[in-house]
Amino acid sequence: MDDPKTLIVVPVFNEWPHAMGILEELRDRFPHILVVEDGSSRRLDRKELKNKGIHYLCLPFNLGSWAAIQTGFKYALIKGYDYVVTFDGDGQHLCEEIPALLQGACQENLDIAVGSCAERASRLRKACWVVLRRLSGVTIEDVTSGFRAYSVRAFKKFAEFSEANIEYQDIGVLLLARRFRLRMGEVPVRMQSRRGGESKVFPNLSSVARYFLITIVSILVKWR
Amino acid sequence: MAIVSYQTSSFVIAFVFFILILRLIRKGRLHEKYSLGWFLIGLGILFFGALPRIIDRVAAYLGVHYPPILLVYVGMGLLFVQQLHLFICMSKNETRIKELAQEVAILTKLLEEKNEEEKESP
Repeated sequence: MDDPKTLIVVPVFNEWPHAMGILEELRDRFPHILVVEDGSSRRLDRKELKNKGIHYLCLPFNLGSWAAIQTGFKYALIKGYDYVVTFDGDGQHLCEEIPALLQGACQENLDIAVGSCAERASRLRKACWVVLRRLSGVTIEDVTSGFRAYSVRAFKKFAEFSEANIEYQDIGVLLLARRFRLRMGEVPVRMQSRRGGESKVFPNLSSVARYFLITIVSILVKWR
Repeated sequence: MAIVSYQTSSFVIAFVFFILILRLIRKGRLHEKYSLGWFLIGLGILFFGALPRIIDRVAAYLGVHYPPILLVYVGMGLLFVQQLHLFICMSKNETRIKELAQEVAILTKLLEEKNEEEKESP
């Protein structure tokens, strides 16, 4: 199979209207795009998306970014895709980098390929990465990157494991992946600073602290 | 000088709790599967409310010098266990709700797709 069937999953939460431009860009390059709306208060225009040929899933209420992605996995499983690429709707990820990510995943036969971009991180963020990496033993550098390609082996596991109630879709997912014995790797990609909307994960400092503490607890509890 | 004795007041409070539990079970506000546990808890409250001096005896038997602390200690322990149990239930329910919401979203999407197919090829 030279051309694996790939679904691009874009979780969005109150990202209208920035998301539309990004979705159009994606649409021009890739045939299968699924927008998963995570119970936003401002809904995307269903008709407009349909006219543009973009698939659209709408969760009835906010479940968090990982649950939205998991919904995408379930859909991809039903529809028989080979790869799922998770792509943020906030303009941070570049659609021209998707082929490189997929190629990296295919060539090295990875179940999870993380698109990593070391330049985007501030010094504090890098320090956090180091701490989390050391504690968890995960060797991937950019653990917080949401730009990832999942093979069918990987997303099948995540779709069927309903207890995967992960708060943050980064290191918790990687730890779970390790438990599932999935092959993980990193593909260097370029990224952009956010075009619009604030970071879903870190709107303020206390949420960063919460993230950090929850992640550390989950690492300590789910040791090797 | 107290107007009512300590035994009377403790009994009245326990009785009110007992009746409350009974009413909640009767109206179905507490589900049947929880009714037995809460009925027993109600009976326990009623028993110790009616005979509060039993606690002094039990405390003496267990070597606790200050009897009221025994009540506090046991009560806190029970509350802790119950709270933990509640959080476990809540986590389980959250998972179930999440699964349902995801199913609903996917089913809605599949139904839409099916309707469209039928429209295209009648």
